[in-house]
Amino acid sequence: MPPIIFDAVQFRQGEFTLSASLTLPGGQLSVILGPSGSGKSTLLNLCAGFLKPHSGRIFSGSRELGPLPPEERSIGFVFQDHALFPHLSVLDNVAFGPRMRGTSRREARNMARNKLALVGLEKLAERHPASLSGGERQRVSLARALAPEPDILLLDEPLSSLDTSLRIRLRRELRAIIASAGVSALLVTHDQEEALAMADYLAVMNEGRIVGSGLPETLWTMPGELFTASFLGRKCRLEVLNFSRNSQGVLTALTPAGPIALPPACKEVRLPAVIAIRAEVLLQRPNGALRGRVSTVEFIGSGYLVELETDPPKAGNFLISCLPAPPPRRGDILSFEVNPADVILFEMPNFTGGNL
Amino acid sequence: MSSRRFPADAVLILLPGGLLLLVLVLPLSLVLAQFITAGDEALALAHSVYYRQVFLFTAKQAALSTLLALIAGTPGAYFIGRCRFPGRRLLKALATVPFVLPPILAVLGFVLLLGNGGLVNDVRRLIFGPDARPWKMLYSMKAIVLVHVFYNFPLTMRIVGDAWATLPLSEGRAARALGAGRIRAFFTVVLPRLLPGFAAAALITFIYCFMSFSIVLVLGGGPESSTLEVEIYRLIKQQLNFSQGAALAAAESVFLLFLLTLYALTDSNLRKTLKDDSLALSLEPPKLLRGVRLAAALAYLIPAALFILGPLATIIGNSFFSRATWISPAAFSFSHWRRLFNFSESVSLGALSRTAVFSLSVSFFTVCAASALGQYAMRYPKSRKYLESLTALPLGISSIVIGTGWLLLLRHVPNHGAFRLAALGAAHSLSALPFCFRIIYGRLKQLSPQVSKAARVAGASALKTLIHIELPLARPALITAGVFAFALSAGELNASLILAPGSFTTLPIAIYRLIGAYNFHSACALGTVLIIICAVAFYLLDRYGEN
Repeated sequence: MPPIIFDAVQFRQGEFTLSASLTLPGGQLSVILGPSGSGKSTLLNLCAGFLKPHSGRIFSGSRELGPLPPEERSIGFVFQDHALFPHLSVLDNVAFGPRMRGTSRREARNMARNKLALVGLEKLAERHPASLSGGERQRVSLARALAPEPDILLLDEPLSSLDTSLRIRLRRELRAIIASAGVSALLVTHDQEEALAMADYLAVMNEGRIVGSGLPETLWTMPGELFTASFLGRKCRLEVLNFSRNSQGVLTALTPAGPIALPPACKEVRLPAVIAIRAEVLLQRPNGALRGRVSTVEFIGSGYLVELETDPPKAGNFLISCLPAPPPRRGDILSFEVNPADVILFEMPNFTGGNL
Repeated sequence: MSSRRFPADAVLILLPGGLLLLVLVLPLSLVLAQFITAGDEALALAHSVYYRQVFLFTAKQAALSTLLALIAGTPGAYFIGRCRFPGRRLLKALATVPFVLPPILAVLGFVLLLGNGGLVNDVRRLIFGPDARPWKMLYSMKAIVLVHVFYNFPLTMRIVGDAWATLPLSEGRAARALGAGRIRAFFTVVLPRLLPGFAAAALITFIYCFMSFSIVLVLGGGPESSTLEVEIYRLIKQQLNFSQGAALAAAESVFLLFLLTLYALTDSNLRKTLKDDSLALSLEPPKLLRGVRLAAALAYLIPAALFILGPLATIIGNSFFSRATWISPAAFSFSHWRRLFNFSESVSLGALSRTAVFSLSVSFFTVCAASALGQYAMRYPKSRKYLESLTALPLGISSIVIGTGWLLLLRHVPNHGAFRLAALGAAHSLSALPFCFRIIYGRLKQLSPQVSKAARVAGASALKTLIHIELPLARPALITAGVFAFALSAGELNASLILAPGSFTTLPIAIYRLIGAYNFHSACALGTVLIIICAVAFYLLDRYGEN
């Protein structure tokens, strides 16, 4: 199956500009993760041909998609609201694609039955979409998109309209079905957990730009940009005030919360710079080098998620930690340690404090 | 991207938009031009005591009708909006009956009900003896106002009822929690929220009554009960005084455009609150009718239903009676129905077939125009507001005025019969356009735009998507709009009286002439046919045409 290639694609709509250069591996499930408004769905619509880029080209393998209308791109599209045809039965919904490509009615229906069997819904073939549950609609929508055997399958937040438990079950199924169909799939979502769980290949998008891409594990440990780091769980953020070396020659960053030893591979960078740490790795220690004053406490079941201000408070700096019981009280001063291997340093030429 | 698709989209708006301009603006500007060039006569009009009287009467009857319609409709609005009871849906449906009923039928029904030999006076004679003086109500302002109330109280019922139904629960409760009693909460919180609804209902009712033509034409008479519309018609068609007719038409149009602007503002305001309110998490639950409330409901709803259905039942009933001579009593007979379908006496049958063919073309044309506009509004959501106001224009521009404008244009053209028919068709189409646009656009809006995209990626071309997906999905709305336009055109009298060439007798014109000839039973047979057409439109409208 062909890779999907976005070659210097630019698209503008009012104030919003999207620019993307990205190669997604063929025959795998690629996931684009980003907050709402980051341009994920725009990217899908560009790929499907519902929007036209102002410049740049989009390829399916060596085939350029740009000049083709949507119906000639060999694409399947799974919509967020399913978009089933309400006036057609489930079977005719799924048979629609093959029919439009000139397959005879009988043959198209056979193909549709096969696809319905693939998603486990052959029993519902004669029903109409209005009588289906959310999960069933989602599966019909997937079967319909796969029925014409497209090269590329696009999925626009396919699970977001479903409730949590169904979502987790369906995402496993979805992944298995896509793998067995052997199609090059591109799924967009704003859900970090979903993205990590499903992706063979992951890209993170923000404000119309791809800010990081790679294998999920790689992106998790080496996010490349602070936005990617924050979006993938590094919620704890401290500005670097100065660098120094201790007696063993270890590079240390001085932050409003205290000194932090950096990993050996880390080099001194030009200020301003920011350190990002995952909440779970901040360990509470009586004489830890990092200190903060508790500002909010949230119970999250497995423990307490605590946000701490530096003392004195400085905009854009805060520690977040997961603590076991008993819960700390607002105003308590707590001290922490962090393993140098868990620290990532980002050079931030534009950092002015405040939220990122 | 939008720039590349420009030509196709431009057609969507330019064709119907051009039609609108041609049919609306051209005659209107002719009327205005005539008004301006005929300066002296226009001035004479302004000083004429007669026309001042006509204007005052027009405004007076409209104001009185509006007031009474609001009063009569408010309890209904409460019952429809705030209560639940068996038959609520039926009542809501009944409230749309006058909406699709051609005025000439209402006139016929009330003439039969209230005339000297009518049902009301029959009952009087039954009670007070055969020598009781008949109750003379016809051919006066009382009758005009009564028919106007019949037409418009259901409007109040629906508009205010919808506003009442979508009031957020939390507001009333907040007022009560803050210490307002039940009555105080109603006047401080509920009533102000209903005011936009009342304002919209009052304005549209006033506009309709101000523009009322056929009702006044039949039931009024003389300067003390004649409206501007009727006077324009008389000047143009009977006295052939084009300059004065145009002057009067221009004066009326300016006043109506002002009212229409007011209405457009109130209406958009009302829609906005309705939309905001429907987002509220919980609406106030409807009250079950019991005890005093039930008694009040019955005391209101039964007469209201009789009031709506009475005239219709009278027409249908009377079509099965006939009188051998003028003074002999009416006896059961199919003779009017037989005559209706008798080929040798082809007046009625001719009127029927002419109306059918003509209205079918109007309907087809209107649905195409409304669909194109609807598609355009879907592609460019920002244009929706302007399109809604633009297509609402015909609501407040009288077809008498448009007809006058066309006559001004065509009177110098020799053999202009075909042109007059085309202009008449366009005028019919135009008056149906606001409703058709709303019906079709309302349906398009419900459809997920993704559905068309899904068809495209599944391999369907734009044309195939239209044929296999978009048209079938829009079909209920297209049929509803089509039948509605058909019924409106089939029942239209005003423009038809002015524009239809002498030989082109439509169904309503035939009914009007039969009423004029006091041949009520024949009128009823023809009227029943028109009722059947309207009943189909009404059924479809009720089934598919919410809002």
